[in-house]
Amino acid sequence: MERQSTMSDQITITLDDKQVKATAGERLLDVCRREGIEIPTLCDHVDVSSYGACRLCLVEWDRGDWSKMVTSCNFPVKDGQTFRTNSDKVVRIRNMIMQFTLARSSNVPEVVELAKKWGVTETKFSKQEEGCILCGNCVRACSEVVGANAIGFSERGKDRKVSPPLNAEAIDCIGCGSCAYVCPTNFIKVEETPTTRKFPLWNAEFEMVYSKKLGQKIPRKQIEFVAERAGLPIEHFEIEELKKK
Amino acid sequence: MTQNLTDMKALQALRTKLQQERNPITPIVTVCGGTGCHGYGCQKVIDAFRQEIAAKKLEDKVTLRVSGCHGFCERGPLALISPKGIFYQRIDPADVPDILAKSVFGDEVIDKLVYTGPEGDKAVYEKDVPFYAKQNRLIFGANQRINADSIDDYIAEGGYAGLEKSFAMDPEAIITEVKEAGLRGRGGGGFLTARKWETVRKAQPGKRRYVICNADEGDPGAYMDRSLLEGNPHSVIEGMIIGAYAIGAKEGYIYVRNEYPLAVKNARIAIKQAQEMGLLGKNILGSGFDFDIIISRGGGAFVCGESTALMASLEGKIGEPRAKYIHTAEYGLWDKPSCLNNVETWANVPLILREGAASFAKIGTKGSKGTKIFSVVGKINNTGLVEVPMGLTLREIIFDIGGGIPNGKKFKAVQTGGPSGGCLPEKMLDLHVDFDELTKVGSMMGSGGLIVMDEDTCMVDVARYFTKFLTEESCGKCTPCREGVRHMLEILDRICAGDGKEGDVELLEEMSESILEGSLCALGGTAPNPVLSTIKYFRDEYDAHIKDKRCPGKVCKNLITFSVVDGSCTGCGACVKVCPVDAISVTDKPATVKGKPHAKLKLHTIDTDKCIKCGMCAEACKFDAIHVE
Repeated sequence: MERQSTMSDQITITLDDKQVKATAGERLLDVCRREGIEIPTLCDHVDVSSYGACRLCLVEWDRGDWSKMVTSCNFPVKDGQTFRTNSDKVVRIRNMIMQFTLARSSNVPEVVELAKKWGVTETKFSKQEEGCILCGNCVRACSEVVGANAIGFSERGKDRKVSPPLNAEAIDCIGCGSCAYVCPTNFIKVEETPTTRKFPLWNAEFEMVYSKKLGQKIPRKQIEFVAERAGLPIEHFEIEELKKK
Repeated sequence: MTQNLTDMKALQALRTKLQQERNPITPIVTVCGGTGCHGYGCQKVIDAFRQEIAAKKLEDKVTLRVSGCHGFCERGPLALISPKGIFYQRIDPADVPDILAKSVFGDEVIDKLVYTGPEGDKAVYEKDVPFYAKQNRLIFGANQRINADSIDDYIAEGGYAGLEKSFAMDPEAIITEVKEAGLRGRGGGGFLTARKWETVRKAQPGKRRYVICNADEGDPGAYMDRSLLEGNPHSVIEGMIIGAYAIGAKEGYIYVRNEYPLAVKNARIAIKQAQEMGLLGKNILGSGFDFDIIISRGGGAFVCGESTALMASLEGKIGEPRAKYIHTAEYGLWDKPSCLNNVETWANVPLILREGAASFAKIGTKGSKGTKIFSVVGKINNTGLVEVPMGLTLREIIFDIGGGIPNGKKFKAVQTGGPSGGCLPEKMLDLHVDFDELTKVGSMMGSGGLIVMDEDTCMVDVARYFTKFLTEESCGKCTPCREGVRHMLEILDRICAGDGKEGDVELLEEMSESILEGSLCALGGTAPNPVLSTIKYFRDEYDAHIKDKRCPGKVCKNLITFSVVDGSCTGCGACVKVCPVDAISVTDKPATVKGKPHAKLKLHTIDTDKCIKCGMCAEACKFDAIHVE
């Protein structure tokens, strides 16, 4: 990405009638949080790029004669812009979207808690019990952070889901567990035994080894992946086999 | 025959030569080879012409032209006999020898092939057919004058003259010309084309940039882009070359759905021809400008017509949209400035350059210049593609050109702008159709679909149909579109099933705001329009479903019952034969024949428990003895 290579410009924007300093091109969400304005999010994660899917971080961009709803997580601010983070319209739309999310994942504690915190305790819509909110954090972590690209979205609309290619075994998965780490709803489960690590969702299971160099247990496939990327011999990691109990 | 045109003079010389070769006296039979006519079996008609011409050795005496769509799809297969201008419709292959002998070489008109209107009115010549008379086929008319796979025909028609003119101009001057013409994007949004071009030209100085043609037409019932790309691909290519020259792009893409095989084929042929002639490639016409076009076939997802999703798909990624806070004109395909226009927009460009902005801007309304191609479908006599100046009324399009509603039914509504447009009632028929007027009344121009509905239509069911389409075509990335539209459909399903509740309409309206304003892209951002516009103009139908458990259009199965009318039923038994579930039986009461009780024939009755409300009995009954309520 070479968007706006020099972002050092100091600018002023108006947030809820208050003038605040920011850097040109900075994410609006970061400016809001720095100013102590709380904004709900589900698909925003510090380790992956902004995605704008959960829509909970919507704020109102005031254009004078008219206004427009924008997601603060991926909105790059410019000098002189005015936003309202808590207008009637923001609250109304945010609450409705919260109800949509709550209806989808009515049994997910993280969703229920977040909704409750923002005053939404009931939903007018038919309830489902979907553990996955389709934020895509796992997909972006696997691609942007790990570089394995082992999982992705499949199907569309209401049938959309995260899955390994062709719903078969995730052959490119290295078992690192980054997907589970960034999942906001703990939907991605990791099953560990003393010698194996299993991801039921990705149909993938890994042999674990101990690396003396790293001082930790780690999937053998992850070591191989890292070694290849770094151009290091496997021996560098001083691997020891784990004994089955 | 191909020749490499090394400069403008060579192109002009070729055009003059081609025009001279075309003897204006030699009769031409132009058979429509559009996809619609192929559905009617036009290939057999074309083959019959070829055989007859070969058998009678008429090759030097008549020219057979297989063109793109002529627009009047309702009456296919079609042929136009020039220079006489005779218009024949619903042609059978067996008619071909007669057509040649009597109408091409003789002066006889074959009556059964002549257009006859719903009121028995006849028109021999195309110019007199009401469907064509009020049209102004600036863009689409050329379809009939060229073989869809002939670059020679296109050049003889004045093709690539706009490009010639462009190369003599500064790129900025071209943009000014398009700006003065007032051209707005034909793909849906109606954004000013020149403004987009200007932005792309100025963005990321020195960097590579692209022009893209959006041929991912996906609205149900809309096929104007397909027909343009099928019938006149060079007009799109010429537009793209001019656009590329104006913004400084060296590469272009045509993103076309793979469900359009003929469009893909003809576009490929046209690109190859242009490359061989030196109209694409290095140093086009000696101008020093390099440009080429690649065809990319899409998999048919509706959302891929959205600019950012289209570009993601072009890049080989999942076709889902991204936020447009940074415009694709600045950071688009592979993060480079990208100029995306749809097929019809590109096809307008050569015309503007060739004829000048002033002549283009004379046509249309204050804010919407030029013509617009509409696909007029649904409950209408003259289904087809219609090109009219902006500002014609809906009434003129639907009744004067479209021929009104079949079977003497009453007009109820017209849906404009595709699945996410709006349904307009009868009182809006005098609306002057252009970008701004449609938006004002809660609909939109979209790509130009017009779906006409008659009195037998249930407007709640219509809203449900489009909402279902959008539920299936939502990419599923953002919550309001994926979840919100799905819940709208659930509520609509419930209302149509007779389980609507007080407050459902208000809830639909309340949800709509969040979906309209909160969705990521224009698919979700317009998805509630069918629901909102039907609530706005047909609220009484929602109330009838919810409060009275009644479907005024008599469409929603749970809300209607079928019964036999005593006094009308003649006891003929036609209904019994067609009933698929044996729900109809005879009673002890006599049937009524010629107004009197019959001695033997018995009144029939429908067992409502068994009845699946398919309507077969009502269709079969010749005596209007099946009552639907």
